[in-house]
Amino acid sequence: MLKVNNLDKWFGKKQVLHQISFEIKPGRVVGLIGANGAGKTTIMKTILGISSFTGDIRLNDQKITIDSHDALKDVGALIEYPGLYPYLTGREQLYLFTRGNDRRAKVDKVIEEMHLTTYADAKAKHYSLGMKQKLGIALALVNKPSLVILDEPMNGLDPKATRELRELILQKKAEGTSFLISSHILSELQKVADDVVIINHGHLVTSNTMSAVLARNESYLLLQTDQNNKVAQLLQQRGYQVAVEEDSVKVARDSIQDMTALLHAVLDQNIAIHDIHEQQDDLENSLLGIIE
Amino acid sequence: MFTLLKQETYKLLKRPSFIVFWLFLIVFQLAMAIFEKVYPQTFQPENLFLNDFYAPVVIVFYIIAVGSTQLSSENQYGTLKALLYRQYSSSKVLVSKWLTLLGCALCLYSSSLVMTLLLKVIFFQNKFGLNLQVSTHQPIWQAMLMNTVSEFLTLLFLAAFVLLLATLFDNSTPAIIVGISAYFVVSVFNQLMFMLIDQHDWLKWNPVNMLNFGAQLNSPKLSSLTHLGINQIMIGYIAYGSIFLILGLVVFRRRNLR
Repeated sequence: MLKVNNLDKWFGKKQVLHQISFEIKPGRVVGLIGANGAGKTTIMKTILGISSFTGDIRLNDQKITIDSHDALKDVGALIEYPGLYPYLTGREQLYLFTRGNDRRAKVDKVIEEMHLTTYADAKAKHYSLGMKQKLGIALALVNKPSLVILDEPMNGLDPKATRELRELILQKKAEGTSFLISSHILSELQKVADDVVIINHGHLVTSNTMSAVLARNESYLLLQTDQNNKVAQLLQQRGYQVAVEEDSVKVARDSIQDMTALLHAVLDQNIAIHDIHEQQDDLENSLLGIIE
Repeated sequence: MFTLLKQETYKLLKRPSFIVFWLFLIVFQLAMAIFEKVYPQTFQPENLFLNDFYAPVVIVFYIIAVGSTQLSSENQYGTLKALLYRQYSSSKVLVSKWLTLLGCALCLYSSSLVMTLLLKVIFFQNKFGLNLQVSTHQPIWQAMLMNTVSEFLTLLFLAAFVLLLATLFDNSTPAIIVGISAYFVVSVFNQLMFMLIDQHDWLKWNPVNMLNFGAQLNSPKLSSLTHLGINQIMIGYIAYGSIFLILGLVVFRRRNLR
């Protein structure tokens, strides 16, 4: 669907993107992640034809450049922050940018989907940050585009709205819509993204499926006992990779060959185990691990 | 382009300032007519009619203000970026704004013409007839129309320059100040410019002289002052206007698509 090949971007003499290549397949949600200033928004702007670049960007085999925007007919986007006309109501803003014959029906539908009904007829100048953000996302979705680009869509959203947005993204994905989403809230991104593109200082670090990125993570067994230091020493002597963390002993899952033997080693010393559970590193740890 | 024009028109009509100004324009013309009735020694009714009850002066202010703030307000609201990342090119986005402004000016001029005729019928029906011959040996209605066209052409040229300035600065103040100043400077210092043109013939090609195109179209004798034939001044008018607009497009593209 979207193919980005060898994307380079310069601001004056400074190169900010270096040979970035990745692909978005139909019906996939791609998380674009990286530190502040890594180049995420710049990549989105080049895809949307509002920032010059060298390289090749194609949507459904149609080339996108700053002079050729035809392919963007089927793209909806929210970049940086929602731009709204303060003198228009939410409904009017949506109506303004809706195309096609059934404009009113499209507007009504997106108002319902984004839970905007209570304030859709109020002027945007009275909106809170969260309301503006939701309207900005609604504007990206209203024309039922096949590709939606969202830059930090969870900004300003409360937990309920964040969950509703996540559910809506998954629903649209099931209907075949592709998404490119950048977000610093990695726990949320982890819940919706199928693929991950990681950028660091303008370089592509990896472009892979979410499961492949998470597979690099280590998992641990966390033991809460009444003698954590003694348990750690004991297990270390037996060749386990162990660390004491706050109120528990963290044992690397890879170093455990036989769970029964490990438990016996602890219980045989008459040490009480209060809690035992497994912990998997999340996307945040993956990202930090990959970047560092 | 049609979609863009529809969207720009929708935004313009929804701006509270548009309706407020339109009502103000109607009230202003009405006030001028009433003023003449109350103080008949101040204006001549024929002059008021010839000048559309001075509506074009007020329209110039509004069009310059709207033209100057078209882009700065989009920047202020953060909406300009969203306009540009759609399927339309930056040139189409900008041209649609300009054409909407042109449409707005045409609407206001049409409204002022209708109001002029209504005020003539209501207040000055017995004072003069529409076929009254004026100094240009035309019926007064024709002279009034020619005068309106002349004012409109001056406004268009001024607007082209203001639109260029609007693309150059994020702030609308320079465009408003220069636009409005230019309007008065031309009215006040035209005589001075004509004297300079008399002394240095090449000065006849300066852009300010082209602002006289409308007036010369209305009164061909003006060519002795502008030192340009009607075709020459028309070519200069179109050439300068085009240069302003093309430069505006180039600047807009460079500033917004980096």
